[in-house]
Amino acid sequence: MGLPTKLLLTHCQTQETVLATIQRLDREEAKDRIDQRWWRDLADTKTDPQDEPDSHWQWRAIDSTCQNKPYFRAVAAKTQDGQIQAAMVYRVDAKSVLERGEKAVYVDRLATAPRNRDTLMEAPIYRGGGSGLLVLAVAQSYSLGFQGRLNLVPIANLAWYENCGFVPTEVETNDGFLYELPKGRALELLQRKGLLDA
Amino acid sequence: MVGGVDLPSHLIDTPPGDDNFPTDDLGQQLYWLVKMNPSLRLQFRDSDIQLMDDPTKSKLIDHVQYALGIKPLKETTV
Repeated sequence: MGLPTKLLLTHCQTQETVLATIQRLDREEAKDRIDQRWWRDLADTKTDPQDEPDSHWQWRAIDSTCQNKPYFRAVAAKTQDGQIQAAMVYRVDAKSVLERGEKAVYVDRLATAPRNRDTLMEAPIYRGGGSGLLVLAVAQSYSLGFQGRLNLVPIANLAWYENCGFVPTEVETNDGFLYELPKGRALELLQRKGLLDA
Repeated sequence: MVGGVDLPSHLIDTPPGDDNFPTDDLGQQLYWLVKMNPSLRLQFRDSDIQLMDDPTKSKLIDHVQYALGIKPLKETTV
């Protein structure tokens, strides 16, 4: 069986489960469904949306930079109504920091739609988009023989990533420390999600 | 949220590139498996992958993953 193609979202108000498809993000959708949609008409926010670290990101341009790079992929979680609930860019040519000589997948960008953020919205709509795409990245790493190792630099909700099993490394970037999900925790995550036998 | 941070160059291990890499999901997965696991000692040209149909790509991915000890994933929903 190949990589995950669907993810489960939870509707925050009704607690109903909604199925979203995971698909490649193309430039037109990035423009129409993210750049022109995500930051418009956000009602009842707890904070100013302009204060979100990604409010200036242009996903169409980001997606364009991936097009001609053989080791990059941009994906999105899309609900039946056509809306993109989360998006991610990752690359598969990274090195592990925690285990010298081993490879890892690096999550270049990951964001949930602003309407789904409980830190921003009084009444977020769905939860599970970002974490579902993160599991996809772990599965991608496993499927290439990297044992699920995953690197990223969180720019918000650091405690959430630590709760997921990510460990801060000594590598410091302009935006903070690089975190890595070690292989043991990655395999536990894939087992917990039912992708691998325990 | 994650993002916008360039990976430090010492943490990048890009194999020698090809200009004509496959862009479909199966072709790219196969390409990545071969490029990232040089111990496979397989010789592919990009055109080899691009000429395969999807069932052949899937079967070859299964064989390569088996050879590398990668167990098949059991679910397509996360």
